[in-house]
Amino acid sequence: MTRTRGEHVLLWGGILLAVGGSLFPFLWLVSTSLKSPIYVEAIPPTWWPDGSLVFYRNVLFEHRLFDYMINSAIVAGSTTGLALLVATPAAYALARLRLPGTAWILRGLLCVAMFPQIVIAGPVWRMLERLGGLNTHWGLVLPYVALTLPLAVWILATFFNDLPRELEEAASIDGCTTGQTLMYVMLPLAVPGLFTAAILTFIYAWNEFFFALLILTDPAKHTLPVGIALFQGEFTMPWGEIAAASVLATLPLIVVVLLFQRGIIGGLSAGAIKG
Amino acid sequence: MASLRLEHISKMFGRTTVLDDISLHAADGEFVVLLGPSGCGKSTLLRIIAGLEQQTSGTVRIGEEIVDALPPRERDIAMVFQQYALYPHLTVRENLAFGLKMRKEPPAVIEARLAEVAKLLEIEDLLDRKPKELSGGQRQRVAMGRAIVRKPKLFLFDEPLSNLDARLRASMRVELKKLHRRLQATIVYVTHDQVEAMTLGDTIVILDQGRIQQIGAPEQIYQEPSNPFVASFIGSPPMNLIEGQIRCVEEGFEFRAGNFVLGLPLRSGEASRLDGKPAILGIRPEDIALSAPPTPSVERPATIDLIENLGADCLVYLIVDGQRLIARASSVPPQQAGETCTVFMSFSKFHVFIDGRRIA
Amino acid sequence: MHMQSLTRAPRTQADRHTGRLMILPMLVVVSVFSLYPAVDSFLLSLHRWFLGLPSLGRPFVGLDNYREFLQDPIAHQALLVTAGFVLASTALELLLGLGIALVIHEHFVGRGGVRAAILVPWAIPTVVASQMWRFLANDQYGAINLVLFGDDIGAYVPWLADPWSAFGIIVLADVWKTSSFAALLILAGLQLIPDDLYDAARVDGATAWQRFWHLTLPLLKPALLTALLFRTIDAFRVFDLVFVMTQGGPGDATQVIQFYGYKTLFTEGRVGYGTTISVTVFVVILMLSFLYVRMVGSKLLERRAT
Repeated sequence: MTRTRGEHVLLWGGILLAVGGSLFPFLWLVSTSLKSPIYVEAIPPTWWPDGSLVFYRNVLFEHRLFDYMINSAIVAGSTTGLALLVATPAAYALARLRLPGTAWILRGLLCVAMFPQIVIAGPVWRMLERLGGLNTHWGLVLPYVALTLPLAVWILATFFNDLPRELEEAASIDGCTTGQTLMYVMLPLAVPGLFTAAILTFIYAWNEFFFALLILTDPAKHTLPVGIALFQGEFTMPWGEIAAASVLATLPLIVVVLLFQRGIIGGLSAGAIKG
Repeated sequence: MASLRLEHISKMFGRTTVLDDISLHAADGEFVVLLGPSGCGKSTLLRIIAGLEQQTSGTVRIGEEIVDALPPRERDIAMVFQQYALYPHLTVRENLAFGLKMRKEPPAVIEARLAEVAKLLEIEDLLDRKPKELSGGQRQRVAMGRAIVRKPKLFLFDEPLSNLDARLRASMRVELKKLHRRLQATIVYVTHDQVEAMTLGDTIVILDQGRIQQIGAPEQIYQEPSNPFVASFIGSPPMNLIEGQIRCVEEGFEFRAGNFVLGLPLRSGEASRLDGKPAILGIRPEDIALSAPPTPSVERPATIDLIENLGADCLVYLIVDGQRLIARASSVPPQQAGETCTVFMSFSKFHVFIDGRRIA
Repeated sequence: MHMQSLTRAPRTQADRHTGRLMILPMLVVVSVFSLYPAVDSFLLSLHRWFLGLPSLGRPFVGLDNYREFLQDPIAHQALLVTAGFVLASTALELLLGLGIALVIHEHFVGRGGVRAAILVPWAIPTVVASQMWRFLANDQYGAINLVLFGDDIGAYVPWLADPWSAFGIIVLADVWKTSSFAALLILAGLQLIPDDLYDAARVDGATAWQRFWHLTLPLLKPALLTALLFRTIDAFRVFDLVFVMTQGGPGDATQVIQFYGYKTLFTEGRVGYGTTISVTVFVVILMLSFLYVRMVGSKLLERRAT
């Protein structure tokens, strides 16, 4: 592919704008988190940080950020595990077993994925209240599993559907039952799809705010988003602490995105559902 | 090994009839080729035998057992797929052993069979590779190995050579033939390639539009095609087919298509029944000669339209009494395109079809 | 050949049974935690229920709550703000998304890194993005003022204190956060256009602009529509940004309908009316979702003749 000079300028201009626009706000946050307290409240602000780690020390040892991270990890991890456990067999059956009503179930899942959380939240809250699920991790994990299932099922079903049918036929001729075909042939081949689904489910649960706000009201149970949203100082907004906490909450996700960019892009366009 | 018997198999997809009343029998050890153009139903028939597809009506027997209600895994068959369908996450060794493991054969048996098959197919060096590290021809061998190692009652091949390049296809064809002789296996082989069908099959079943057009040995199918479809489908270039009419004349019968008139070697007893019937006359290109053949033949003046030199022989496109015919000549004729010549058509090699059936 | 994939053998009874068992847990979870709550909300919206006044009980009031909704000026203002937000953010996201998609669809050195960088806003928790933009828009320490006015601190603007600029900042934050997702949807559409077509157009002498206008855009229409619908639905559900950045203020300038519903339902404890607001949003979204589901072209939904 050859480009004219103008096209080159256009392309690299676009790249610069897109990358700069995407990263600059976050880099500003990183810079703020690395400043000493006096520089955070400097007017006008300074561009470069002085490399102080005091805010990180503060959020980790004086605030409960560490607890929030543990809570988030438990909730997001359990959600991911459970969602995949439920979604994988369902996705396989929907992609391959030609049961009646398959297309309707898939369409229905897309619709469910669009439900506004607020319409679900009230009844779920009361249900959990009755079951004693408020302020428990499982009380948040269960609705998260339900909320992430549509996405996980669509990603996995799309993936299963793209695997060659002949492999299953070969397996059935080789003596496999449906379960064995899934176990020994399809699952090993679906590992990339499972991985993508796992990453997106994890990111969703790690980032979710609304349900976490309603269900985990005890500060000791807060997840990262709730902790960061409700971060309060005594007199002024503790911007440095918020910045440090935000960077810590985001870093794992950025690592994941850097490593698995390709899988994420493919997974997100499967059925065009947002995580 | 076992025989295979299909009785009145029909298959509908919605309202479309894909297979219509197919009955055939493959004896123990027989190599049966299902041949037809794409969409004729041959692959569907193979998949019905495998149990990957359910027939709408009719019965499949493997050995003497009716297998209609059995899923593929219980039919004790092996299948070689067009795209090979090797398990990409398993090594060649694991691919070969997979079916045996699923059937819970003891490890010692698996090991012995594996060694035997690997030696037979000369894939011993490939055992620890993954399918993606193999060439097309090697994958083909492994796919066959996976079938052979199971020692099934019946082998099914679904266009197994169609993904190979021409040279490899020719050599695999020869190997397949040897393998069959050696294993004495019952094989049903689907292809659209008539060369494969002619060279491999003990019996060829020709399918078109879901119906059996002819069942027979390769020579028989070539020499005595039972209808115009088979006549045109087998042979390359295809048989010349001319639509016309049968006429009863003093000397016997003649075939007329416009100005094109030929005497026919028909028995006179049929005179009254045949007179005036529309008919199709078929002559294979190799039965039209540009120099006088030793056998009795009809002579006609012709115009040469085009000459295609194929190297070993050559095709001459002719116009004879207003009809376009193709002749296969062993050497390039002295005439140029546009010039005239004389053609000789072997009297005894005419094929005559009336109402879609062969009468001579 | 194609017919085979249309209809495969109906599996044996046992296999069908296995298949149903495989789907069942998923259906149960989705039913209990998504479908049932939605239906429950609808029923609740027909009742009057104040959390703070248990003595009143939960009488059935028919469509009273909906009548109240029709006459509630705050709700109307919230709908207006929501509509404005949806319109502004969706339009900008599609435009930016298209631009980004065109860029990351090209081949160039370091494309993987660029794609990852563009995914960063998508991956950042919305709450973090909200706090971040709140800080960026800060009247004293914010980077927006620094970029625009440098050392001239007299010119610094309290962005979130003014109704219009607060609305603008929320739109900006949403555009920053979700344009990359719109870009991914559009990218998926771009990847479906065969390269041959561009080669053919080049041979025919089309300039880059002509190729974009006469080839890319028309062929991209389905993907753009999908992205449009998807972003519209999502923008309708905006909540986190408003909760963190403005709490609906200043005044009611950024009070979107979801936030109003949340306040009524969970802060004020007017369960019946709050639920009515959420159900109204739900109905709008459901209609958009039906459109969306009809638009989605997936191989998964094809090939299902029987």
